[in-house]
Amino acid sequence: MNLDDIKNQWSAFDKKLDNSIKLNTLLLKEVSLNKTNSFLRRLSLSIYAELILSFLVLLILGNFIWNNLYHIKFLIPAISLDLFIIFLVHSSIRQLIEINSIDFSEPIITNQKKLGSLRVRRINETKMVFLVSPLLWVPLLIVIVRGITGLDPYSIFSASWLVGNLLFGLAVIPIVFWVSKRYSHKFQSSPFVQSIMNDIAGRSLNEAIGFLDKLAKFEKE
Amino acid sequence: MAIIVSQERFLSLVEENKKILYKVANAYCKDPNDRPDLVQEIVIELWLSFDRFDNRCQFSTWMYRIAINVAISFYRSQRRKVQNIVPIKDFILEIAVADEMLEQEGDDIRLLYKLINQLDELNRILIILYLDGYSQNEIAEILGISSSNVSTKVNRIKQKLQQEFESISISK
Repeated sequence: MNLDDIKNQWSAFDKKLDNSIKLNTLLLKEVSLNKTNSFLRRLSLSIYAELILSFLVLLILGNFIWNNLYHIKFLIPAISLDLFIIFLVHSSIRQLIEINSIDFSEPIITNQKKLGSLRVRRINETKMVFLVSPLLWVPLLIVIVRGITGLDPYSIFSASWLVGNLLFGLAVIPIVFWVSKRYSHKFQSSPFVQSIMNDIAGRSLNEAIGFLDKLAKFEKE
Repeated sequence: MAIIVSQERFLSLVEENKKILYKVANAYCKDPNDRPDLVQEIVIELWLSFDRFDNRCQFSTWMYRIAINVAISFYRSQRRKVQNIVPIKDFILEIAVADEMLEQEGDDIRLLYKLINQLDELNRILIILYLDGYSQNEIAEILGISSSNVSTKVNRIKQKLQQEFESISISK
């Protein structure tokens, strides 16, 4: 069978499709298309929410830093948290810029490249958040105790307890990485958890970069 | 009032090109049960982009671009949650009717659909556009690659499909 012959059968089937399938326009009108949101709009709304929250945290941290400007032992944990939030804000703003530049009516390769780089950025952000968080919980504890109660957390918790927790956080990072790499396939019933584990393990990143390579090859060949 | 007129025009244009929805959904859903969700997502994106449609190209070309862009993202997404806008999703497009028709078609068309689904997500649309009768330049414009590239790729895929057809015919 020649593919050019099948092309005729394909167009005949096309005509049949045209005559037989129905688009329920009435139903679409009734539910008002104006109230709908696309996937990207929903995503950008959630990023805006993250951004507002991050700015609030930055304000609170800024206030804390100002009040403890000459107490280096409180300043260092607050600045480390501040830097982390600034990274998140930067990443969110970049994501919003990328989302705003996406137009689904653009040529496929152009659009998919933009979506691909957005995906890489989001994966890197998730990875960073989950891998750095175990290290930040001790600074967070110090800032919260000092900020809310005004007490000195170093006198409440012993130095060895704080250092121990910091080291534990450090040890947790490779464990999280290993568990994600080894057991993500066991979370098929929960795509959300599975996808976060794949992000941490680097599987999603490899896949996203692989797709960008594929697009580049497709464009050049 | 303007929105209602725009909505009427939009729906009539989508109605005229509804087979694109079926073909794209059929080609890009790993699980056939996901097709209503994909059709819904495509229709939403088409509607949200409709005010930017400026008649510089045919509506079908523009619709194909959006449908494929949404479909590839949908196909690659692992945790996509679709916002349901209608209670019975299948009612947007009567996919089951088209499936029945496809079942009644000759072996060649069914086999062709099967073989197309085995191609990667980029080559898949290239051959669908070719079979739909789009010119090399139009395909190049939809995909964003050069015409000569389209020509090379179409020939390569045609050869591949041809070989597949032959090997299946021999095994029968």
